[in-house]
Amino acid sequence: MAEPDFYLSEEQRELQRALREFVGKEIAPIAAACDAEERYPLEIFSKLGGLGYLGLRFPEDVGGSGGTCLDYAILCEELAFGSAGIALGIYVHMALACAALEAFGTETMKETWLPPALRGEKIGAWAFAEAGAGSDAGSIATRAVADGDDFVLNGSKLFITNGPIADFLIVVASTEPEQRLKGLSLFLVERDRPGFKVAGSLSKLGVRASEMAELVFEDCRVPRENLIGRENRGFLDSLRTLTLGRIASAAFATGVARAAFEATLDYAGKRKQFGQPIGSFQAVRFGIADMAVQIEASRLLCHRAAIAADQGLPHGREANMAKLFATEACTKIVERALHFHGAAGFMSESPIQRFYRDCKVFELGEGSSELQRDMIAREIGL
Amino acid sequence: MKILVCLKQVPHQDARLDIDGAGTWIKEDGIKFEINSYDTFALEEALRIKDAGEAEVVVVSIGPDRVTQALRTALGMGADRAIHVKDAEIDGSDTLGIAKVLAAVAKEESPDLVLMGLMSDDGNASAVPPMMAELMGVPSATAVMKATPEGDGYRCERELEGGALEVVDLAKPCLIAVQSGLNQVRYASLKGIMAAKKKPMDTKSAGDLGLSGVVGAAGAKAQIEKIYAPVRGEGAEIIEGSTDEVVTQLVGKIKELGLL
Ligand SMILES: Cc1cc2nc3c(=O)[nH]c(=O)nc-3n(C[C@H](O)[C@H](O)[C@H](O)COP(=O)(O)OP(=O)(O)OC[C@H]3O[C@@H](n4cnc5c(N)ncnc54)[C@H](O)[C@@H]3O)c2cc1C
Ligand SMILES: Cc1cc2nc3c(=O)[nH]c(=O)nc-3n(C[C@H](O)[C@H](O)[C@H](O)COP(=O)(O)OP(=O)(O)OC[C@H]3O[C@@H](n4cnc5c(N)ncnc54)[C@H](O)[C@@H]3O)c2cc1C
Repeated sequence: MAEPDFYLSEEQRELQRALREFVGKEIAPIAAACDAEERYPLEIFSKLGGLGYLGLRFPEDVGGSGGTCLDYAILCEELAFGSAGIALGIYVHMALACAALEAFGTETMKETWLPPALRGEKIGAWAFAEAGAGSDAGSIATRAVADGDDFVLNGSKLFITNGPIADFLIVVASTEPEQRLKGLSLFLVERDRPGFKVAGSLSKLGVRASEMAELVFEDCRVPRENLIGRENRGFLDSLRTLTLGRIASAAFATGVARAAFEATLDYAGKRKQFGQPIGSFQAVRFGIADMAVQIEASRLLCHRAAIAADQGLPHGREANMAKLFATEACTKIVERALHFHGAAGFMSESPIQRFYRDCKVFELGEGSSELQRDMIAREIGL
Repeated sequence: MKILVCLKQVPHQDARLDIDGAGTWIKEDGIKFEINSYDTFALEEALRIKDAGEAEVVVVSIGPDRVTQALRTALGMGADRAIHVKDAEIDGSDTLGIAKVLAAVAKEESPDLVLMGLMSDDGNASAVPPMMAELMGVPSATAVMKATPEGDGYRCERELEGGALEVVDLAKPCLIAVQSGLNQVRYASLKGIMAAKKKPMDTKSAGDLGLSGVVGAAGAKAQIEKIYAPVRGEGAEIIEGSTDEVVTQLVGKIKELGLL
């Protein structure tokens, strides 16, 4: 039998092995407690940063470690296998906040923020969503008005991951409201800027190890140097460049699904009813076989998108398909996992109920399933 | 300063082990392997010596193609160079045969220090390190909990039965077989993993080491007759239930037997 991941390089297998070891020893043991307490384990940032994993895909001159998109997909799957919440906090930091700075930031911004951020000493957040703007970015109401050498920000942001713990934020604000999407710019806002405040932490159903807040800007004055990328075009540019989000979502979903699957496989072999392991009943066997297939299909779609990205090929369609398939498969797999665990999986102490609460979010974030289907339909010519 | 670290690749602790057709080993097909846990502490100790000053860390492993993975892991963690001894002729060696191969590698490398694990997670023999030291003609210590540079060698604290420690001084060159838990083993860094590809890995055969016909099943003084899972004995009883029920029943049993 060939290894299912025979196409990975020696280094990628080693990366996977090293991450499994790290996640098994450092993340899995604290996942339940962080979920229960809605607390982000900040030390995970510095541990991953110290080992260079936060610098994956960042150039060496800003403190990065290099690496490919496929490496990144491997990282995401392994982190989410341990804790979807912890993975989410890392993701927002790396793939949104740091990636935006790296792609569009000024030299000063990069020199000041990236090395400590990639070491995990400074934490970033990405502030885009608002009470009135989710799928529809064009309705963003946070305003940034030019005033001399400054911009003055007013408005509020909702559902911001890492909000309570971030040292710096990338804020999407409208610099030209009539232009809607074409009037959105990105700003770097440091935690201690006067006029900026974290209005309060938000409590969630799942991914509870990640911390989330509402943010408020009241005459928050930032110098023009804090503008990231082109004025009025910053957000659209970022959509084109920060394509990793969908690959990451697919990988996260694969990781959570794999965690649920492995637990179920183990349980079905051990749990006996009617004098035999429940895994010997066809209904259960077939269900678990389906899980295995769906997980491998999810991973293959995800890795295909990542490999295309690494080869510089267009990969938008591939990433959309991977995200849609893997996130929906994950929800189905986790539902079956809970079902096959019976009452044991329904209990608070079981990790299965955590997976059940965690999985749904991947279908919502980074473009919901409806938006994915819409884009895929367009991409296939409808 | 040169340090030779001997690594054995063993079945992963979570692997499902089935006995093979011949009844003398396990089925290796489709199972995962990892570095013997004791050896990871030896490697960490070597890397700490390297971090603290000048040292070249060379790792060696005997086995089929799959052991290159273990060597690559060690290179990713910071070892400088790897030697893979691969030869079907070595299959079926007893512990002395393995010690001969490792001693031959040590003879070629002439390290100042050999670090290895006290025993292997699978074979459990604890025999290779002292045999290898004898073949090399160097002083050795086993079950070492702490090793500190002292004069021209190392002061080693050995774990004795009952938690006592014995202190022995070894002059270099010497061999130290470590107990588990003497340090906290590092994780491979991303840069380390990427850099590993460029580090040299040499492959050697029994012939290269001048051991043709001396090692392997032919040269083995001990042969594995069979391995088997112990047959379930009589008289054991498993008490099931909630913690309270289990404790109540257990105390009842102990009283019943007049032990309390
Ligand atoms: C755990 C979590 C973490 C988050 N972290 C961040 C963060 O760090 N930064 C940040 O900026 N935001 C964050 N968000 C918010 C995220 O950006 C939004 O949830 C996302 O943009 C979707 O917006 P919405 O939730 O307001 O849903 P809406 O846009 O209101 O959508 C509601 C429903 O309507 C459907 N729908 C909407 N438009 C269409 C359409 N055209 N066709 C068909 N169906 C449609 C959607 O599919 C969805 O099911 C986070 C959200 C969650 C749950
Ligand atoms: C909220 C809650 C409240 C409860 N309250 C009570 C209560 O008040 N009193 C009480 O006595 N119990 C109670 N229970 C326990 C309940 O009786 C059990 O959950 C139920 O009997 C199923 O057993 P199980 O959970 O051990 O699942 P199992 O019997 O272990 O089954 C696990 C899974 O294996 C599969 N399976 C099992 N057998 C077969 C088969 N023959 N063929 C195919 N598939 C099979 C099914 O998919 C099932 O989902 C409660 C459970 C919950 C979740």
